[in-house]
Amino acid sequence: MSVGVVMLVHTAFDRAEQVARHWASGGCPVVIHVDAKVGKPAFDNFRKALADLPDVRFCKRHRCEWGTWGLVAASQDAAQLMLDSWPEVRHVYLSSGSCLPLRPVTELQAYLAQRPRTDFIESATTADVPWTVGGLDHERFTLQFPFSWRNQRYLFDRFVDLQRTVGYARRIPEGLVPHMGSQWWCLTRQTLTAILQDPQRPRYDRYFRRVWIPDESYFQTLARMYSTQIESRSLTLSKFDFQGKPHIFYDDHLQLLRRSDCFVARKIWPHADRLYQSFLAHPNTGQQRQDPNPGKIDRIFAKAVDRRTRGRPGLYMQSRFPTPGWENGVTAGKYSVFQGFAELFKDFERWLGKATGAQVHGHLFAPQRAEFAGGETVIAGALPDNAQLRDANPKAFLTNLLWNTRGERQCFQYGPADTPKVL
Amino acid sequence: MQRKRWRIRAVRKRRELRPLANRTDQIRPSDILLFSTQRNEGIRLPYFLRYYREMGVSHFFFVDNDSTDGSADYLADQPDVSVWTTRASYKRARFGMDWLNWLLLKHAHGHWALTVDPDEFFLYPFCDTRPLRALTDWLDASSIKSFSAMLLDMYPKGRIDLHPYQSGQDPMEIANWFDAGNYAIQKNPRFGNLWIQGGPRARMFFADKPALAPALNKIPLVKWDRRYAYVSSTHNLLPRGLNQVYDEWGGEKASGILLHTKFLSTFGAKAEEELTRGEHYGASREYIAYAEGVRDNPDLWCKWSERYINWRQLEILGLMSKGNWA
Repeated sequence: MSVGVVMLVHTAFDRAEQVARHWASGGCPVVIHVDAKVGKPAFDNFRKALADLPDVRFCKRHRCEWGTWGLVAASQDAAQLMLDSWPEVRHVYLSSGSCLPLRPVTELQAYLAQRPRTDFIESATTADVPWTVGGLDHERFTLQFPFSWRNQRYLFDRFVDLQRTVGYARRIPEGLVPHMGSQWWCLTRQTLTAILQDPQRPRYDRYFRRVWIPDESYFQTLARMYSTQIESRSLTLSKFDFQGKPHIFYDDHLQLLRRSDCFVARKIWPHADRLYQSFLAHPNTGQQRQDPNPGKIDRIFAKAVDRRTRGRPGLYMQSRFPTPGWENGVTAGKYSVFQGFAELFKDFERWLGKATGAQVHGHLFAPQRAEFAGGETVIAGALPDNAQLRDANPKAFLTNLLWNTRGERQCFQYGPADTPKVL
Repeated sequence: MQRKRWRIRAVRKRRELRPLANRTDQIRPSDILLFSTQRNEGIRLPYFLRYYREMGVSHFFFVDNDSTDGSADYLADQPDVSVWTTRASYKRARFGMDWLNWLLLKHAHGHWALTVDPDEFFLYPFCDTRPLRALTDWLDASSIKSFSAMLLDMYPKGRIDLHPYQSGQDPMEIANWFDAGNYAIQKNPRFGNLWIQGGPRARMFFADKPALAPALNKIPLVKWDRRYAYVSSTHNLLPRGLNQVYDEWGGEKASGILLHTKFLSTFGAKAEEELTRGEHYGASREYIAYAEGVRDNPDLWCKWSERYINWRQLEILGLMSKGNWA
């Protein structure tokens, strides 16, 4: 019984129950915190469903709004209950109801047993972290945040501006060096006890109550004061998108999650039946295991962020229509325009095509029709040579041509007789 | 102001609707709803219902516009369908939108609502591995209220009437070609939506009058609120913010596709009928153009047509996007 699991739950109780059973049957005691916003009937049902397990307990309930103190208070109470109830627990693993263990419980126990004094908590100073969303890093610790970022964004922003203007700053309690990191940690009994029983705790709690998103900084900061050995990474695989929301895992991520060798992943879509079934009912044992290695998943989610923020250069479509100047590349590729060459040199187009290997068109913007290479009437993407369709939106015609033929250099002739409004 | 006008119109037009089957008491708060108008589409309905049931639609709303092929009764017999019927003018109900706005106002508040025609098949990123609820949950979590899906005209290779369509058959088995890259986009300053034209209809039927080519931009999936109203088909809606389904700073938002399977063997007869009824948009000029086009040269296929495989293909071609959903 080296590891105890704290679960913060506010929804999808059937899944939380399943996971709690999994931990408990693997020999991990579980303390569950249920959000105080959850109604009594739902809470009672959930509690009853787990009543047959002696090693599952429920702690005092707090209201948990995103980014508020409630989440810290919940973690504190749950951790305290864990330490008091099971003296043999050496590590406490903080997780949520939408977390899913990916590796057999015994492997986590063995991993932690080999590292009895190591605290796994992502913890970095504000100078080290590039990932804060909203532009607030050090100011999280020095400003006041009475308004909700989610529901009162305007007031939130204006109040931050006001404090910046007048130069307001809270004093950080002596001895604290603000650190931040993922809220999903795994701490040793020694470190947790030191944090929870610190005589200065009321002072620290008072301070952190008003810090923005304290669940990403309270334990992260205090662990730095007491831990003898911190590994600044979370054992929970958790990826965030460009707005700071966690990415969600679905059934089709099964193979990726398997190969990640991570112990726990979050967050899982509650209806991802295959994931729950695969990892809870048939955890794959006896494979060659390595340290957690989420590299492949990192790449997929990094690509998603890139697609959402930068997109594919030269693409104009229903959900990407950049304002001029924001295209990240106006066209999908470079292209060459020749003025006068075809008129001066005999057979210029054929020669150019042979000499360069590029696709050489005639006068694409000729008044009668677009003179595609080889005299074609339609080219890649089913783009027709019709002059009226082309002239209705010449920019779209050209960007379409270059998108459809991306990878192959395009050249075309242009002269004074051609439709003038494009260049 | 205009939004109010469309909503008042919708409320007024409710009198034209007579319920044939009302099963709306079965609807649970988290259900995803589908809204559609139809006229004599009996042959298409079995596959249509199956397609969307498998996707995760829980309840169907149909307005039947005076069908004569028994399709209204067929719909009324389905356990998860509510049907209203009307003999009033499709055109004067703003091509059915007034009727659907009323049903949306009355029944869709707080639900995700998918508004599609019987020949439109919705695709979204990962639709082969994730149910529609995965998408709507993700949209909810991302505070996104509307989701776009461009109309992609599908067509067979060869004459449209060459392969007869059988009831219950997957129409994409026949109409499995499309134009990959000839779409022209403009911004509509009035409603803030994009106006997209192109595809085989522009290429074949509207080449000499491109401004009249049908609009392909659609926003069929909306987390409905009783203050919303569709303006012109599902091309745009009010309030204007819901039309902001595209990114303007270089990034890509997530988007889907409506596979439009109008061009099946059933098309010729439909075009003639709609032409004589004169109940369609823009003095039915689309159908006039079709009827002429269908007689002259009914093969929409060209050697650069692309054969449909799956949504990933459409994503790579840049017709839809995963955005930041991964």
